Amino acid sequence: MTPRKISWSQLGVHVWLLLMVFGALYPMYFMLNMSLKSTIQMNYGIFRITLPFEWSNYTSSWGQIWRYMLNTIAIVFLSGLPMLLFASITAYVLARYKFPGSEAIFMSFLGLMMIPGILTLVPQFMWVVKLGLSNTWWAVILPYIAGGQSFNMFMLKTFFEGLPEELFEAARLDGATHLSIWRLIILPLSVPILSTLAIMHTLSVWNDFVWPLMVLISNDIRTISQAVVFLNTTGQFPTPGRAMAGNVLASIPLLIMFIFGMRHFISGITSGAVKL
Amino acid sequence: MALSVAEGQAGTTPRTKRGLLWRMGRAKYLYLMLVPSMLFVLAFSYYPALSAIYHSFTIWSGKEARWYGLGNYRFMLRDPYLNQSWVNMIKLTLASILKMVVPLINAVFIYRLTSDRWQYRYRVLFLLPAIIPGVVGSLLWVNFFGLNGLINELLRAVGLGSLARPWLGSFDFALYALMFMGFPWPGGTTILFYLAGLMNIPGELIDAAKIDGVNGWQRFWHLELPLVMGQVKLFLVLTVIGNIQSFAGPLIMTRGGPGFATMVPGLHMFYAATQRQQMGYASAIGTFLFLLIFGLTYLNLKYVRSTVDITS
Repeated sequence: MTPRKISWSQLGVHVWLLLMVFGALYPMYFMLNMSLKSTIQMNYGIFRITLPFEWSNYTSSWGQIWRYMLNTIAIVFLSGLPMLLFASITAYVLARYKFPGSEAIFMSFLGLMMIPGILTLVPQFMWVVKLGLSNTWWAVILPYIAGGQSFNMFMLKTFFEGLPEELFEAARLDGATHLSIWRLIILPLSVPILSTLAIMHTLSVWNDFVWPLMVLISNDIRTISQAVVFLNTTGQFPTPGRAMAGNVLASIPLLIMFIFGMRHFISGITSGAVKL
Repeated sequence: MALSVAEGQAGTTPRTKRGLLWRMGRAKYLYLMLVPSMLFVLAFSYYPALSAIYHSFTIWSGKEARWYGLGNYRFMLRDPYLNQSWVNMIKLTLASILKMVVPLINAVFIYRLTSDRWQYRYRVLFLLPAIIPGVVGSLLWVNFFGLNGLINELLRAVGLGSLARPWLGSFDFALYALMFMGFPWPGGTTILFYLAGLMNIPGELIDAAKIDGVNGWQRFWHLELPLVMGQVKLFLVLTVIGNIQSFAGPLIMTRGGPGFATMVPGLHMFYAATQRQQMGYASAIGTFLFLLIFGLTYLNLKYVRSTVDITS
């Protein structure tokens, strides 16, 4: 009697969750469906799948969009690598050593958490213009490196504090320098957390719209989010189907990243390795 | 033993003084390692923040800033468009808070599944929409709200075609359309964070509850909700802060219109800076929003943070 009762309640849970999954995924269905329609097929409404699929939408939009994807991937790396490098060095020093001023320095990073992007947006823009960085990739890369310091430093510091002290003791007895301890012990051990942080960074750069909109003016240096909005709202895509194909293409790099990083990302957050 | 005590008493003051310099000298490479982070943070975080607060008291159109005292703040009170923006922001925030319920329910239901494999599958499925860039999501919903978009087609399909309208172009409905965006708001990463909290519930507690014949509703109310309350409060604060800050959605979807129907303070600030060169006024709005967020973060740290630490 009991197993039957349990399976009924489990069934109810499944029904609710499947409805919610449908609620989460239907926008993707319509996006894909519309991206495969010609202008004439669009007249049959958006629910129906129309054949033949208009694959030329994709080839055409790819030509318009590939450059911005490459731009954004380049910016992800050029900002992400130094950002994680500096943050992990700082996190290591603050997690493993007590020295005069270390508390104050830690607090100065803690204070950064209190500075929201909305406060710095306008003066940051004026500052970047004054430095002559406006309309170059430096205008996005440098603020991204700075903006990621506090969050990533905290995540890494928490992780480093959890590492056993014996590891460091042994290395120090062998005469390892601070930097070589960081490079030979810390870095290899923190690959899992670093990749979670790298995924988060990629998502935030890929999705950032307002800041690139303000500082990247020339058409050929724009980021993907900026370009997608520009191409859509100024009617640069010749047909609605091609506009949708462009939107799908803009999501593909994130899809690839999730295929490789999903398992790790999910267990990283669910296990509480990444604490809020 | 006695020796070390005597030594400590005798040399307390001079020792710590010499010790401080000695310790600083010993740590010189550690200081050096902190330099890159510190430089970036000073140049691109602290400096712009101070600049914003200073320039909020000035008239600043790009070149030289002129001292204006509290003029910008006084103008904020009289700016009718800004007042409209506050009302819109509050409405959007309240809607976001109501929408928070759905991810929590989803997380609890995933947690209650007995099959580990299905738990994982649902987590992947809910996370999948995260691959759609934010701006693409916004543009997609512009399409859905359009004259021949999903919403109107659905209305026509069920015989309510007379209600069809360009939702985002409507003075009465544009703001509600923005709230409706993303329906049914199932959540993605938020579900994972709730699950992280739920997983901390000791298995014995659940077993004990089952033996006591506790029903699903009681289990949620007395067991699961209290244990994710830390996360709930934290997301509440993050949701409010997000609503105070974000304006990319209205910027892409409606440009704050029609009229000022969907204008929010952040977007008003953005337009003041980029279209009217009122950098001083924009800084004042930014500073005010910062103070608002600061207050909330303070409350968060004081009342919420501790509960999260206890549960995790």
